[in-house]
Amino acid sequence: MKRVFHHPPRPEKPSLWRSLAELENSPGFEAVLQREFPRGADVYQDGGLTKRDFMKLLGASMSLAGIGLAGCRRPEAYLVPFNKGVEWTIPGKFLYYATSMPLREGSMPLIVSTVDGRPVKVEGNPLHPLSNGGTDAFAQASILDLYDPNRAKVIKQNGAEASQESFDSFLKELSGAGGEGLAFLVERKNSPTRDRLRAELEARFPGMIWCEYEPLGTPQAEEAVAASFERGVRLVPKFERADVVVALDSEFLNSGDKGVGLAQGFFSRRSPDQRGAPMNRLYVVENHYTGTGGLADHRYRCKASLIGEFTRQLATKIATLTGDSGLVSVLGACPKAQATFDEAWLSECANDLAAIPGRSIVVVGEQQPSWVQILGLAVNQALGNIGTTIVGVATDEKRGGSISDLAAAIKAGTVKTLFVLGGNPAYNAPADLDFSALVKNVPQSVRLGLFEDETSKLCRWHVPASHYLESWGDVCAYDGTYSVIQPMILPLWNGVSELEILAQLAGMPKPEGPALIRETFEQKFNADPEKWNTVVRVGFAPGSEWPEAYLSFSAPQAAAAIKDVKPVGDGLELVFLRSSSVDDGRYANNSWLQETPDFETKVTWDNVALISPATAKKLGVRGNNFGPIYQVAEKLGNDIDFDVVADLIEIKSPSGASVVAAAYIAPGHADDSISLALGYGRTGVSALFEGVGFDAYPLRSTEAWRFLTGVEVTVARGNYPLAQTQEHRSMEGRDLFREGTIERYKQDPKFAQTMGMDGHIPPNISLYTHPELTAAEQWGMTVDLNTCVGCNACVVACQAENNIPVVGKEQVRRNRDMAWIRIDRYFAGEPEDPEMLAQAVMCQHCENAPCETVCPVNATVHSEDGLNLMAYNRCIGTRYCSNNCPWKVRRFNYFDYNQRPLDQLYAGPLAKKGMANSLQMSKNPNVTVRMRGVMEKCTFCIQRIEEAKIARLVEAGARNKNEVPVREFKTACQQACPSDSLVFGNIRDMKSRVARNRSSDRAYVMLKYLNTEPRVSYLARIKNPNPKMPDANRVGMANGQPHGHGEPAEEGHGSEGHESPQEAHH
Amino acid sequence: VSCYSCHGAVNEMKVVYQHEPQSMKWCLDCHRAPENHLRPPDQVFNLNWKPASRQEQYELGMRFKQEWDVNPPVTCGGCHR
Repeated sequence: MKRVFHHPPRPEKPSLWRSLAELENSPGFEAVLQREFPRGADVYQDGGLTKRDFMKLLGASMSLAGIGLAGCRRPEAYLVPFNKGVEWTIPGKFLYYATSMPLREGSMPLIVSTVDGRPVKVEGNPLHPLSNGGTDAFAQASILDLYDPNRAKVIKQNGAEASQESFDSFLKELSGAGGEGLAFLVERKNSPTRDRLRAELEARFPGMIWCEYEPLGTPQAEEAVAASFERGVRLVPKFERADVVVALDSEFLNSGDKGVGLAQGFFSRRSPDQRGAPMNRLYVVENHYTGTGGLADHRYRCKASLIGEFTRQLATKIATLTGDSGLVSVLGACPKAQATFDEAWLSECANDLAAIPGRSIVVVGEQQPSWVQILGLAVNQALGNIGTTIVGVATDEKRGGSISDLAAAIKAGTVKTLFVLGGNPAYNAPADLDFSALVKNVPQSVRLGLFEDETSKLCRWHVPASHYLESWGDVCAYDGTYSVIQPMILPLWNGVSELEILAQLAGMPKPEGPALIRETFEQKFNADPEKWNTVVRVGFAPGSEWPEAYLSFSAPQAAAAIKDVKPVGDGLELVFLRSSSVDDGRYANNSWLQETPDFETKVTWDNVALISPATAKKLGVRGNNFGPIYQVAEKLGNDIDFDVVADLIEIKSPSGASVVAAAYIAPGHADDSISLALGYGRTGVSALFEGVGFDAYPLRSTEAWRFLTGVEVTVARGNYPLAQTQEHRSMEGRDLFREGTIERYKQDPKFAQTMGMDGHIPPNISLYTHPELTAAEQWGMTVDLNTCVGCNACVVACQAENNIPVVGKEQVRRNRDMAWIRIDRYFAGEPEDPEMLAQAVMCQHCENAPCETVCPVNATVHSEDGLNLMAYNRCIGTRYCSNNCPWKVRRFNYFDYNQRPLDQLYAGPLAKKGMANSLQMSKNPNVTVRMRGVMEKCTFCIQRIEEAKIARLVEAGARNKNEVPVREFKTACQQACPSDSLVFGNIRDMKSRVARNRSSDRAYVMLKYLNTEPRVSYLARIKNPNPKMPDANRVGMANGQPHGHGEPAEEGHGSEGHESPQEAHH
Repeated sequence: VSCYSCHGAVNEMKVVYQHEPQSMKWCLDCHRAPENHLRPPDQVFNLNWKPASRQEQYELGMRFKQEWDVNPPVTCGGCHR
């Protein structure tokens, strides 16, 4: 019998596609697909330096007294032992400390691993009530900020280096004076110690100005809560109690502002297999695809400026259904706009909500105008959610003025001395304030910052700030839990914290260690020293959350607050997004984040203006200029390898300001809307980051906070190459990602396992012999596609744990990115309004690994516990393994990315060699730092596996080790995952979560017909659509309509496979 | 396995030197036949302890190997991470 299997034929129009180029089947794209590594990937070609030139240079440098070639293959290093043993330290073992990372609205509780006194990795603190042990990408990457060699290192006065003494005497003088015209501009942070120092300063200097500014702050949301309820309450959504969640322009599943624990309740209700409560349902209305939108059961595209109108129409229906008088009176005050939406969508969504009073949550994006938020609260009130699914807590925060207040004071000339503590207002203040010019007018200005950035250049004094891992501090979590920020290392470059500066100004002596924080703690809790020790050890004070507040919605007050709101303008709108890579710009210097692809566009090192396909056509914007250029280059025999070459567009605001940005056609984007992430286009921090992306702040004003309406867009001259990780490594239109609806799942629970050809495959045989899997522990992983948002936390965590180098934009364009775990993002359906699917892909640790059979030197082999190993010392860099890997998860070190500056990679031995000292400190000592010419890939965190095994040996002592089980541990990606969708463990232990997941009906492996027996299983995504919704028949159909054996309609059968008698799988 | 097996009699060295080759083959020799280096747990830090004979070392080693299920890794991943 013939047992030949062919890949399923590619459908004319793939139902799963990764980019528009693929959908259009353009010849250029086909050509790229055909190559494992794009052509020219191995040719030295930068600025005309060919391989031949390179050899010449090599010869020249050898004749020049043999510069640096001796250590070409085997790097030399020195080990310096400790002279004396350090307390608690065991060489090679981590020490763990609890701390917290301050966030805009709360804190990220952390456990930091330190080795030899240097922090190398952060993890979530699972003990904390507002943490499930997960983190986000920003927290993971913050460790690189600590070691960034570009951080500010010296105090500067008027641009010249100044001494610590001169700054101290300046502070002393100020502190002794009356404090006339003293003003502070600080970042939003909920720090009790800072509040205490502020109160002391206010007592000392009456009339001082204290203002807060966050470019992605949410003053509108606070106003709305104050208007609807009362001042000083904060709303805490309880997603675990909600059966239905409606998100209106809100990315609540991926909000780093409040800590990752807050959305945890949503994921706990997302499983189709849970007992008791039903699986929750998510409606999302948004203008561009967010991770939250990707997970939605029903998603509606809507301009950000019309979210208010959408909410109003939805609220009108709910008001009719519930008859709530409060909602009716608020609706009466709302401005109206001319817009029609899908009537059936609105009615059925409203019906769904009204049918379950008190068991839903309507979330309105916190950057939306405050009237929309008030309306959202009124809807929640009408649905009976206030007090049930949304509870209130009484905060004791004391807020400051806004940046507009400060600007007014500077204009009035009352500010004589301005302290800018953190932030970067010269770059990110609303454009209408013209803040840069104002700062220059202040006679004395002091700036405390991690970097010498745009604001530092305008201020008289620049003082290097200490990182949160370098200084004592405290912060309250979103629910008010008091958390201590504990330093892990002394300030690397003499940075000081804002608390130290405030204390000095208040005339206190320079604080020693945690003295300031401890005083606050004792005042706050009247606590004994014993308790302080506990708090520092666990990182927070248990039971210190704010007391619950009774919420009573005041409709007249709410209606009065929105009475005078102007209706929004129409026309083309520009929406300002929070960047998934650089936040508001504060991480612009963080190369890990810069190289992490945006979850939707997969663009690295840039932000792009997202436009819907229809709007792009209308404006004459092309998606990719790659085609013609590629064809010309081909004719000329040139080896240029372009990825996406975007059109540049000029976005002009009604007031005349304009921004030029690269356009990117985004499937699923709302029409007549353009989205541009903030935080890019920074200047003057370091050469590598110069001119990365486009600055959207010049168009943003206090009036246009989330969106700007009435913009004009024209196609500008020129092209812009983008570095995407998207189009290469395409896996073509196979059923890699599988999903279905909950109904289909109930009828045919094993639908995911019989999808495509998987139902037809006869038992397969392997021609190769494989090592026996003899160990008691067999490692495996499962990825739950139902909860994966595609937030990139795992990607950055892997980068931090496994010393993965950054390669730079040029190299990413040559498909040489090094990330061991990637999030594949597919679109399914019509390009105008498709579904978005996110799938984490790492080395699958195949039991019949195709990479192992082709390695000529046995550098990649199998271990007896089922790991696909990589011995770097043996690797000679043939790249056969990568060629033979069906998942394309292997990464090759084309250059010594760790040792050479990224802009001089092609200079060979002439480039400067060596890593910055501070970056050496950031490396994980348990993982090899790879050099040029070796292949690498996910190891399932073998260092953690071995550590756990060794810990077991220690625990067993003089006993048989098999009597002691391996203690539970997590891989770096699993530990970072805020939605708990990655599970790792021993698949032989039937009690383990991973083994239970693998035997789930939803579990399937990718490319099963290849018979590689992957150790990574995926749990198919189950959607929970409302059958009455107009789009219900399109939901959960990423693999096509089910028919026959649960097979997509458009896809053919694996015809050869039919010869076997395997039809009886039902 | 005692410190002695890899580092030699450091207590008798005037200047510390590398006593064993520390090569991969040398590591694997022990990983494949740990009985040649296993000793009673209370003698691990005693650099002066010597088995009476090769035969005694072998017998002791085999006994500990069986009792504790000593089975050192010989796959690459045991050391190369």
